[in-house]
Amino acid sequence: MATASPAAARRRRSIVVIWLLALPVILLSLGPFLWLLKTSLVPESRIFVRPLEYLPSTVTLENFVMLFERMNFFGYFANSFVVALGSTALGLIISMSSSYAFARFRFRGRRFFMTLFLVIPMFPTVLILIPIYDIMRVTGLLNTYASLIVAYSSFTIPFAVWMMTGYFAALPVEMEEAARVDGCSRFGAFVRVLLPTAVPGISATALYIFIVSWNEYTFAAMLAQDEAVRTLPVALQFFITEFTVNWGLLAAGGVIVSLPVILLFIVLQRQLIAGLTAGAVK
Amino acid sequence: MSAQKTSISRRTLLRGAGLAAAGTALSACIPGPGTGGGGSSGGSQKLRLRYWAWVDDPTSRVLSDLADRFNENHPSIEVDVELMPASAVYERLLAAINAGDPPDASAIHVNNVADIAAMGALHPLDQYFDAMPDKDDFVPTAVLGSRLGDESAPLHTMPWYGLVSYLYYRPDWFRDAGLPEPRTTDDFVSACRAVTDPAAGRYGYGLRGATHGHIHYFIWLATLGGLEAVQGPDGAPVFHQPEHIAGTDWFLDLARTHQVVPPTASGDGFEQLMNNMKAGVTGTAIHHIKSSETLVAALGAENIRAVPMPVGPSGRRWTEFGPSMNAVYAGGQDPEAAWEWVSYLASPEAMRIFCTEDGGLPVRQSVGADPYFQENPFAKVSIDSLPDAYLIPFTERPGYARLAEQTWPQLTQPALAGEMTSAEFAGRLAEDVR
Amino acid sequence: MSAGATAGVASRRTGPPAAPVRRARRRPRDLLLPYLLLLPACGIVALVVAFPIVQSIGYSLHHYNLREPDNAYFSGLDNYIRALTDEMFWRALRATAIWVGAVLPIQFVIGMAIAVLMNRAFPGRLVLRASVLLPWVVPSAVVALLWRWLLDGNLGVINDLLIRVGIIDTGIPWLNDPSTAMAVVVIAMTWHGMPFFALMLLAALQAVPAEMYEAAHLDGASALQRFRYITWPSIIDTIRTTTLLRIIWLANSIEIIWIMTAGGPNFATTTLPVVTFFEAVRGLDFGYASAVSVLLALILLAVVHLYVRQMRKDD
Repeated sequence: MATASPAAARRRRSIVVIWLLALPVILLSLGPFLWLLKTSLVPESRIFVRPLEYLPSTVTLENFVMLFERMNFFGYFANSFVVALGSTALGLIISMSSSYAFARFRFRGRRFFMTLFLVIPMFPTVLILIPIYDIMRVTGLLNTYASLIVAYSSFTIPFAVWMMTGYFAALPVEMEEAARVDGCSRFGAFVRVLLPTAVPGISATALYIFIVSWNEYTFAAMLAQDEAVRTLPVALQFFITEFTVNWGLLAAGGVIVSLPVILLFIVLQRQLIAGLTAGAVK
Repeated sequence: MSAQKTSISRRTLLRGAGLAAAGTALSACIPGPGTGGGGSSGGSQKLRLRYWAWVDDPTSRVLSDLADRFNENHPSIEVDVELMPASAVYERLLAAINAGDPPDASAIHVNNVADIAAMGALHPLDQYFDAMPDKDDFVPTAVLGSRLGDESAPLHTMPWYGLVSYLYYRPDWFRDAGLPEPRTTDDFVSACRAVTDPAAGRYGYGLRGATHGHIHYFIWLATLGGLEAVQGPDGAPVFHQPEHIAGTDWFLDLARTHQVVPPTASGDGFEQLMNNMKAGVTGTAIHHIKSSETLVAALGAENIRAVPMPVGPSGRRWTEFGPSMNAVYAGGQDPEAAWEWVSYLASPEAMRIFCTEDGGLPVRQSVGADPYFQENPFAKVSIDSLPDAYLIPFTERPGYARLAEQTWPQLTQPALAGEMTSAEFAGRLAEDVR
Repeated sequence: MSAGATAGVASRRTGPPAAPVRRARRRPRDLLLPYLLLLPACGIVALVVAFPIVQSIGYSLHHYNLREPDNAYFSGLDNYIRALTDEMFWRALRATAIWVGAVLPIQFVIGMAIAVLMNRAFPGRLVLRASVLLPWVVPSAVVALLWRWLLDGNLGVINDLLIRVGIIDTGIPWLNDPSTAMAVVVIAMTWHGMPFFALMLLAALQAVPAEMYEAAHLDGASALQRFRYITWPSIIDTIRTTTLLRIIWLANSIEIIWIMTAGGPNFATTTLPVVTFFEAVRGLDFGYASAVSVLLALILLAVVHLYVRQMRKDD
């Protein structure tokens, strides 16, 4: 084969450099998780042995089988999905509305409201636990998906508004104005011009809301203990009892809880970088 | 900017938004049954009894099975067992009681009874209990536990099952070192010294320095000097006083002088305790029957054994009785119906079923005499220790939670390292439960 | 915070329009519109979160202990005075400052580096992206328990690896030593939260047009110069926002610390949220817990104010 052109060689070199940098990052990110994965595939009696086994001597799927057969993990999965998707949808729509206002308008009280949204997360959630239980009880929303969806949206909206305001504001306003001069309504310009270019920011915010909702424990434990609506983080707590941590089941549960979000991310990541070209506004 | 790309993403976006919005609206309508006032389920007279509980094995169905049996024999009551993780029950109870909507009954942890009782949320059970024909079948220490250790106090809760602390040890380690079973506290110390080998990562005693390890501390203190060296007749602490400080010295010297505890001891909780036993890091540890199954599975039945707590210099034995109980709530729909349920759980039939499945100890003498428990070596040791088993002192004091979950775990580190004197350590602990 | 004052990109006008839109008939609607747009968010937040917070502030001025709920009485600033004169409060404040001050920069630097890496197109990029996201996706409780185990003095992987490599002889009880406990808790939190930074910064990086880099490259700018003069100014707003949000979030985070060390040993990792949690849920003293929370919020408000002022100066 003839010698490669200098450009190709340079490209090859830069890929190698990138991978040299990427590899330790991947290892550090994955490392602890791999230990979790290994623990989930090992029978309970082989989890705490000395010397430590990095490669399991016996591999078993009994932990995973137990989760789905003896416990209702399919159901918990579905519940977590409903709650997380609902929170993300509701939270996004409401946040986008506010972020558009902050990013595209100058109005009295703008700074006040923005500060308000910053102040609210400054309070620890433990103090809100009991009042929220009361609110949900009185409105009859206790033990329903709605209680969690409403609760999670409320927690994530302040940060989501701030994040998306930043992303919206960073996009030039001329394109929307041009569209409106062309006869587009404000909403039309928002949907046709702003949204597509803000997709990376929106996706990042959506992922934030989704992950927070997917992994939230404290309020799920308080508000949704009925088997029909129980979410995954609460189910995982079953394995942490007063007398033991059932590591086989907990690890399997942890793996199961984490992987779908990764898969979702992989599937959606095309959307995340869709703005790469769409965002190239001159 | 490619118009085609924009329109595609816009369409997908709108479609996605529409779906998501519809999904949200739809899902919000999907019922969980919701709570708020038990009310009737179908039939006109049936009382839906709300019962909250936790179990240590989430795959176990024993409570639902017991509920089914109960419901068959009580056509006017339907018990609805709501299982949740142990850590969730107490916070939920607080919120529910505060909202004026407690469940009808629940399992309750002994550490929380004093607080909940102080709120006035519990329905005292003396009148029902005294009317029971077989009430003397209950182990006295269990009934006393439900009174939080005070004979004159009301029966706050109904006994259900219990746990007795004993000493695990490694018979193989002891055999190799030519040691007999540890009978006295002196035996215990010399045995620990003999099996400790830091180079091999082996330590004699798995000291529990993290949350709730104070239980073992008080067990040792009461073993060495009797309960009167720990708690005065008025219930106030005395273990920190100069004439009783030798007990704390003995305890801290396990680390300071004899060095028979692992360096991680101050942070070792129940989980680390068990893991260290399983992995052969420690040769002895105090715990109870709930851990026996997992230890046997990890080590093999011939390599793990339990003995009653060693006796002190006076020949007396003192160990912990950890009661598990059920509470009936004053704000529930029908305390009498709730009593029916909790007394059923404490009936010989239900207690036998539950304890064989869940691994706890029956608190009825008749059930304890059952061959199943007598033939299980760990259950046998526990039952034999019952006469010397008592509720940990100070459980009823307001500052108990702080001692157990803050002061103790925080201070074991400097105390075991010798950076804090016995007097200061004991003094700080005593301050919480003054 | 002025949204969109980006330096160095003079040709793009961003942020709220400086002059009103020409169509006069839209003006009344325009005045009302922003408030209408804010209504949903304010509504839901007010109902679910803000009202309990206000209630909480009210509690802080009362003696309110759940053990004796009928015995609540107005106590003015008593709870605040108690907090400010409590050595534990100041200790926890210091621990909180160390906690935030350590986690934030490390998370940011690593997140920034990863975002830059993820922004480039190279084969197998997906593997990098997916694995970088993983620490954030694992539930906090599992993260805390996992790290507690990895750091275990007897059975932990980290000690095991260090022993095998020969750096140490026996396991170090990382979580039992006040001098190391905070450091390792910081490491666990950094691992858990770093993907958040990486993701948010990546989204900002992707909004930077590729043409600008190409033009700079043609002009002969090095990678470092491109970063300093193009990348950094374009994403500075996102950096500021994300950092601000992260400070607030970190200051109130409790789960990792609580499960790994419960605030120990010897209160070394007891931050203010730990104090609040303990006083509220174990001590049942909601009055005092609320006061501690209000004080923390005030401190955060001051920090935010200083931060914003500094940002204005930099602009």
